[in-house]
Amino acid sequence: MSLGVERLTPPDRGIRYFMAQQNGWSWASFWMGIGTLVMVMLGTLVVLTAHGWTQFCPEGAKATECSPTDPLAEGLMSRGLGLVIIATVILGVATWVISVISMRVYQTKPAKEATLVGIVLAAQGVGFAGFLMWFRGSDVDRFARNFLDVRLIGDHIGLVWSKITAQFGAIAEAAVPWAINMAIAGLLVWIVWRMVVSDNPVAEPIRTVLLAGTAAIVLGLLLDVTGLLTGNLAWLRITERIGEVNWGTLLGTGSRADHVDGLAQGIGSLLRFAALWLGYGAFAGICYRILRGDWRSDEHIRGAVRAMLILAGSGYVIGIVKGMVVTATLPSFAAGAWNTLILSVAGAAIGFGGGLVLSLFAMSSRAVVRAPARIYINFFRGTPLIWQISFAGMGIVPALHLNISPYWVAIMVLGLNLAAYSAEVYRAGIQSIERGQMEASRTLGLSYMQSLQYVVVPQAIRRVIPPLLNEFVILIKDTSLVSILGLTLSQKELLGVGRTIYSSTFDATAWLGAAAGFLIITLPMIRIVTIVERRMRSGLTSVI
Amino acid sequence: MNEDGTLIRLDGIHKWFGDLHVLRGIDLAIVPQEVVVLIGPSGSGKSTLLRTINMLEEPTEGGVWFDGIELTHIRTDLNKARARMGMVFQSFNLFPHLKAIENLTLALIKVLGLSREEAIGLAREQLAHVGLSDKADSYPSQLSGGQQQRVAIARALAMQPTLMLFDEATSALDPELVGEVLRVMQELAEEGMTMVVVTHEMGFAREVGNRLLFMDQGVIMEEGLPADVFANPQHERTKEFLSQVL
Repeated sequence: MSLGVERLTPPDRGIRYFMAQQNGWSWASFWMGIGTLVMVMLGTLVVLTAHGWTQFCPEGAKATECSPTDPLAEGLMSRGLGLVIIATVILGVATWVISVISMRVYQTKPAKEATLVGIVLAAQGVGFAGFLMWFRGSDVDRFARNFLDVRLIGDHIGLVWSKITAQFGAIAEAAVPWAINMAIAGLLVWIVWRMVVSDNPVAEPIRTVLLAGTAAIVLGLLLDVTGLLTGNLAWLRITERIGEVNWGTLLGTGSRADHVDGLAQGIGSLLRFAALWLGYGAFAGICYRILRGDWRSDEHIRGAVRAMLILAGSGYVIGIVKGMVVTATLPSFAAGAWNTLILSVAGAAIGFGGGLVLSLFAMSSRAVVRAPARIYINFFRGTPLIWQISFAGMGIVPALHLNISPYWVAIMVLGLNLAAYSAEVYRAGIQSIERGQMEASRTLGLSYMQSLQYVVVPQAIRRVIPPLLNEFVILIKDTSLVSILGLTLSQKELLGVGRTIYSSTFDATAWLGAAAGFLIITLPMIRIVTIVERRMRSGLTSVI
Repeated sequence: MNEDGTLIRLDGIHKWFGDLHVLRGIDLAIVPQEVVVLIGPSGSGKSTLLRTINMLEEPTEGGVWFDGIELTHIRTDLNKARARMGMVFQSFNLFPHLKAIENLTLALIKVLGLSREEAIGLAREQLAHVGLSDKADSYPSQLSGGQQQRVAIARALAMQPTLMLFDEATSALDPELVGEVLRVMQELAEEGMTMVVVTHEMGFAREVGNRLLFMDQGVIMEEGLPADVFANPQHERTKEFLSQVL
């Protein structure tokens, strides 16, 4: 007697099985449904293309006589499109009739599914045809003029593009430092990442590396100072930096605002200087350690090299894109998208970093530590972002005579705001880690901070990545609020660019262009959220 | 060791959770190499008592001494003391984002300050000790309950503790997996490890324990040699409890 356990492979339920289970009626319903939708979509495209989408109007032609969108309006009103609509409706109704018959005769589940697919697709096709029919009854000409001048986006991009291609050599050259600096930054980020998120021996060499970095700074300063005597290049460099500092105001002359400016500039240039040398020093230190053989483990070197290559490559791309944007002075959508990206990425860097620290404060068992964090979080979550941007840009900055561009104000406020929201996400993530994890870690002798660092936070971060990415998508869209700060043309983000173009052309196509720009940035992010979520549900807990 | 020759000494321990008086004056002294088994009905305070030994629960009143250190003193470095006390939990509490071997090396590197190579060597030794050499690179989610608990034991043993605490280490395991964990615990006792074991495994208590404590309502009702207590319980509550579990 067969017990049914002998069969080792699951039954075939693939596409071939699906096809084999159809009968004539269900098959007809399936394909006719597909045909209905394809007919209305493809038919419309063919008819509109046959009429031509846009046209050139002679100089000085009246808008009533010649509009760039006239062919489009003609196409929409043409008999050809009318025929497409009628044919679609007929095919759709025929599909339904066939489907009704199919519903009475089908015997298998795939046949039922195919029939249902036919019905639904036919409904979608007929629905779209109905929409076109309704649209033809409205003021098509006016709508086309206002919303469908697709040339507008194309023209701007075309102009910008010709400028960029003319100067591409210079742009490519200027991008090289970006690649180098990003590679060094990548190495540092990689080390910090390994230190924070995983238990890795790199934590020990990092001390040497930082030491080497500090030594390199001192060395760099010394070089510059001795350069005073020898007059070499290094000397030129430090005089450049000294030149950036407004020494007069530093010494107390000048107004208070000047004083603050001078101090900020001086500190800023010194910090830049120090950071640069720290980066080079760390790089030298790591090279030294690799040569000396402390980092024998291939895994570390591979990781470091990979991080450097990836960031050098992306640094080069960023440098080129940046060069293109600088070249493109028109309020083009490319420049707008770049600014949207800068605002959101810089805001996210501040927000995600600050949020983690804030969440640790907010979870403290001591009320005196918890209270300020809660006040901060509740304040930023409780007031509108547009108020925060306005108050910072139009209240705090002028009142304190701060010499900060609205662009940086916007980045700061977006970051501070995101910190409040992401702190709550982190808190939920950390608190979702079972108490036993902390207890087990503490019983091994790890301190509270070590337990957070090596046991709780690495697990929590994996759990909070999807909600944090969601916050990031929200942030990308919120960058549009920056436009209230009155940015200059080159600083405008997507919505600002769209508005600028609209106000100079009174053509609403600009709004569609802005929407397309946002979607190009946000859709891949949303996709990434989905992928990460799926990876976290399946397989091991390890995502990173 | 404490001055009086004990490894652990609890003096007049009281613990309140809010209004709930969980431990009501516990005095306990444990000498090196002793295996003390704690039994009692649930809610009797035996887990809380175990957790006061390594100060996972801070006693509301009373003092805890471990190896000459007063753990209840405000200036005691608890991390240092805990590094020498292993603890095994009912729910294993392995770190799910680390491989089995990394679960062991984490504290060896971060707490004891061993180099990575030393730590890996020690960790492999301990995994072999619990019979899991081949699972070093597995993640906890790839292991059975019994294997996970053995990794957890190895993780505690890798720190070379002078004392091991077991909090119902077999209660979350499927019946057929209990044996492998108990075997490891028994070997450990035979090697002379000082152990405090909270358990419902009466067979283990009788075979392995040097001393049996019966707890109820936050006090130690009865104590003595396991065989004596099982054969001839003195207290009414002990008789009742044993008649239900044996």
